[in-house]
Amino acid sequence: MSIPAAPFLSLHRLLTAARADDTVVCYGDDHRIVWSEFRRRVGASAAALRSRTEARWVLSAANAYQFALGFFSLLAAGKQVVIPHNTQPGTLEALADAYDARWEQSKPTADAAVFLSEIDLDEAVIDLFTSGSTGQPKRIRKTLAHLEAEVEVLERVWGERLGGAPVIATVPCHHIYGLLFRVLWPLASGRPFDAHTCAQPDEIEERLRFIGPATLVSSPAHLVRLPELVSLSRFRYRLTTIFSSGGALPTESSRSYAKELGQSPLEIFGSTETGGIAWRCQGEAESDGWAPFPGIEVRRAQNGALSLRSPYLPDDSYWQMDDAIDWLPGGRFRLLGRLDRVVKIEEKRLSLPDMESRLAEHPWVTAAAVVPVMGHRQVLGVVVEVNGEGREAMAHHGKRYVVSLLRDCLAQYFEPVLLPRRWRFPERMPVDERGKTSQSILAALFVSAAKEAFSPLVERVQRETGSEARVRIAMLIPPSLEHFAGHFPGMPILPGVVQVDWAIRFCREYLGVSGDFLSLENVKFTALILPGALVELSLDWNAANGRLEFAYTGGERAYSKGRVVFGGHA
Amino acid sequence: MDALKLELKKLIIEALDLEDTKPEDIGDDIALFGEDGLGLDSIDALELGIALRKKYQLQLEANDAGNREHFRSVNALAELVSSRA
Repeated sequence: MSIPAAPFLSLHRLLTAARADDTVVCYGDDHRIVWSEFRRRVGASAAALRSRTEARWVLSAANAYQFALGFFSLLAAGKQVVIPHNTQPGTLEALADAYDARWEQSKPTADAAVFLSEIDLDEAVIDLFTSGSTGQPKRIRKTLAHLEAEVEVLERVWGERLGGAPVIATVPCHHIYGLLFRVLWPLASGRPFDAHTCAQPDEIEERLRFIGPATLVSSPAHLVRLPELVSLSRFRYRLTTIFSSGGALPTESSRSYAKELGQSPLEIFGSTETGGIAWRCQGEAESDGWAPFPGIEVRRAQNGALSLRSPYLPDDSYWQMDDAIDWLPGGRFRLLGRLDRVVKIEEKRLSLPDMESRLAEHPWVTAAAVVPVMGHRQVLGVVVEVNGEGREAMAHHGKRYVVSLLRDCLAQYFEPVLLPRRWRFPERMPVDERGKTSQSILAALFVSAAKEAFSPLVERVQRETGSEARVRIAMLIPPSLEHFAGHFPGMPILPGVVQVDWAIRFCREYLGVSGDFLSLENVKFTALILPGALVELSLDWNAANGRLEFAYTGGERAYSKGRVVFGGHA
Repeated sequence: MDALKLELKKLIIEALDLEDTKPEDIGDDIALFGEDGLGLDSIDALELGIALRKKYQLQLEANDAGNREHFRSVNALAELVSSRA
């Protein structure tokens, strides 16, 4: 049994309602801060703020305790809270029109009790920002009423599960997820929170040693990397609940937490604009679908987009997202990807067209395309067509020089994590067989050289439901394939032997076929597969007689089919 | 020390999967993070930390300011690794 948290207080009554003076609010580096001290400092800071005339105050403290002090001091003094989306120096300059003054760190004070009153839920304004899709930060205005409503739902859904466990975090306070999960919810529920943000995975261990078993508020960027450094089993019983938000946690990663900790992370799907929308716990439910939070009404719009009504939104109308969904049984939904070309790179949102237009502003660039590339981490790849001047610079100073110039241009508008890591400068933008510069043909330029040379680019693998033995693989045939080089000069076509080789390779990979190759039967090549083709390979394995049927098709067209016989099967 | 610096440069390139970068492209005193220099980002810092711990069993304190100083350049990293070895 966990110790219960202190009685829950609504955020607007946080400074006035009764709560025991010795309730721990927060853990500093090596000490605890209790309720009486928190209220006293908020009171003193609010009193000082009331004598100031500025209305809008920037709050950018990295320390979560300072952040909480600033947040409630400003609201108690009737000021507006302005929370920048990152702490880079340029950001505050860019937001210069959005605020009048900066809230500085609060110093300990010996002042006697200061008068504090309830905060007016609808008058208390909090401005959050997102990096926006135009390169300009976008302001998202909230009132305390929105935040309070969400905190109350979180407590209803998970309060009992969390008990009185303190909250530690790897995410900052200045995004809505961190603000709610590691500051406001703990304050309302009387769960102590950690003032420190664990930037490196092993700091989590260090904080747990000081604080004891805790709830972790984190994101996929950290959760995926944590097992690389420490054995997850060491966190069993010490991390009692894990939250993740900012992007989908890979299923594999979720499974390794389930295995080592006995629980999968609870994932939150939402946005700064909407607040929390839905949650899931992979492995707990039958599907990996997202369940809307209580009070959120989700529907699927005509264009397949997620559309919702939520008490955390400014009004009662439906708000349309750019995420496509489809429905799963039980009112859950699955996310199918973005409808616009907005991607998330390590949890940072980016509009690809926006970056492309910034690149195109450079005098050397005639065309530019940006694609997400999955390497050992997710990065951006850029395909740039340059003019004569650009090519000359490339010849004289090398690719690194041109890349660094273009990168510096982008650095004026985008955060470091979003700056492209892979650059390709083809003479002309590549096109697929339909003459389109599709995402997949661009992505093909970034497949690592060795792999690219001999493999198709797998776009999608679909298993026949209820069968372990059938699989369909959608693939793009990269024009850069090594096999095209000599087959044939000036007239590249995909050799039949390569098609058979891939069928065998993929049936081992996806169907687990292990026997030795014995023979090939009934092979027919009926149409040529050309560079840039989009084809589907279907594999049908009959374990009883060791036979694999394969077929390459593309829409209505059948390219080839045949049968491979394997020996030594059980 | 020069051998260590070369080793660190190789580690950086490999661990962070840097494209078109050879050890000689990374000057000993060039800034690893930030706009001028190598331009590494916060995720790189995380991964470089992991790689250093794995390779040299380095324990870094949970002190942001100190780590930022150690991660400033290859020279600073070499200093750190050799002092803790």
